[in-house]
Amino acid sequence: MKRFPLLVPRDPGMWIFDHQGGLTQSEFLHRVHSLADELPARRHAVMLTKGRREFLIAFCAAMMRGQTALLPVNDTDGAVAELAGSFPDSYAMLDAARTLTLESVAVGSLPASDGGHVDFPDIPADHVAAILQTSGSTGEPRAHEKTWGEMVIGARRWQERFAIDATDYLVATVPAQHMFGFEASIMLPLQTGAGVYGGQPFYPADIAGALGLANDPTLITTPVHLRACTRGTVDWPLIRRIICSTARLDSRLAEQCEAKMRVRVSEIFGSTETGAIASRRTAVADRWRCLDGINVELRDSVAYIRYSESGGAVRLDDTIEVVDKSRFDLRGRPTDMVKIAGKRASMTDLSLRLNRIDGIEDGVLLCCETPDDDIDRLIALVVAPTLSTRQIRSRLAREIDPVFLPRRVFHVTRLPRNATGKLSAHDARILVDRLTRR
Amino acid sequence: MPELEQEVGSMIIETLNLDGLGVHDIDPEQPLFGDGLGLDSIDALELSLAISRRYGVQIHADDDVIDVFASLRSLSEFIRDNRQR
Repeated sequence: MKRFPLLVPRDPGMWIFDHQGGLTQSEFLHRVHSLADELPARRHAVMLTKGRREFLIAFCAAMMRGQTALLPVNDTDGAVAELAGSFPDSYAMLDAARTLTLESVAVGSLPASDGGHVDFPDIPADHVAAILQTSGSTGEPRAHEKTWGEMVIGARRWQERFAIDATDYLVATVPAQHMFGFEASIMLPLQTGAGVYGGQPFYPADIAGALGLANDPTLITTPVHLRACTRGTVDWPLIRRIICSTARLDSRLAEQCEAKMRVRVSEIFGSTETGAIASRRTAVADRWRCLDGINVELRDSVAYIRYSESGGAVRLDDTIEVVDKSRFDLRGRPTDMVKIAGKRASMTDLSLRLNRIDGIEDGVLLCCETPDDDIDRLIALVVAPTLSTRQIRSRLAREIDPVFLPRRVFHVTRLPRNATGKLSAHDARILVDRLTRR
Repeated sequence: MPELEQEVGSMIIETLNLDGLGVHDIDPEQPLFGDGLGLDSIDALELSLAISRRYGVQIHADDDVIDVFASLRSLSEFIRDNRQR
């Protein structure tokens, strides 16, 4: 069986950077080996580590033990319990010890180990390295298995497209548990030797501080963060490139960001199912160019991508117009699916959950683009004479990810449903327009 | 309600488009995130931006952001102690 290295060696300097001094690859591998020795003999490790450095150590230790990393969509108790239920032979990896119903190992509490020679291990290509989850159109989570081989080949595609090597330094604002974050901030540093920031900076000032820790930084981020960085008052160090994904990047925002931060902004098109598929420089180009080894094709007006290495094809949810086998234009996505902050949900499922709340006689969630730009938020129309907006939001918060909580809740006496009980998007929109003009 | 709390409260409502809410609907001790006003991380970024523009204060995650954003009162105190303008 073919094997791929866990980690590509670089020079002896720092590899994981942080404000405390960071780790060289050799220090990193010592920690990985000692953690691997401590891990319980189970098949699945639920990755609840928030620090990127802890995630890298935990993930590599799990690989060395032949285990599979489970990447939860969020770290709410509900999501973790659900995941552990689907994969009974699992335990959790945490940054620091805390109480959890699941058996857990705290990565951060590991003592630093001695130097000396350490092996760079290989991992079999067919080992299931990670399982990521998405919510399907019914709201039921779907699991996606990723073998070590396909993740490594994916990382090489990124490397080729963006010319990333051991002189690069990657700073990511996205969690490692999300496919984009997993590819860009875990697999890419492992497979190119590029340096990586050990945390997950959030506010613009934190991001600037992390970028300033090493030369030629690359920022791996989202439109929400780019907007805050572009409009804020922080001074930016010299950045080599910005790679953005998780939600559609507005071309005007991309332009403003390029001007303000003096750097090219590339956008990635991809999904949990497929990983990164294509990229574009959004400020100047609409058209997407596939990464190496990926082609697009239309069959009976359904779009597929095909991997040249395996010959396998994956159906895309999005509507695309194929220019040629490696270039395409995006023409929108199915109307029922909404994607906010990199998380995907079905509008039908979200509305169902709203209607399950006691006291909601009728209700619907709608996606509403904010007037000033690019970030979708939801609003709710409800018939619920006995419930306050706060009660509705807090009950919904137990059911759905907070990014999908309605920004505004409009109480109405009835919804404009037609004779068959259907609520058309058009009628709902008219009602919303009337309510918001008030 | 102290003047700065009123000002910060209005800024929150304006920045986040919390229609139908007045400054006096915000309990200064009530959590801004989660169960209270129910704000989320996207809102936190928006607010950090508005605060940096208006008061010249950069919010860092190591400022113990949970505390800073714990309530209107704690946010107003943080701004009072750190404002540049």
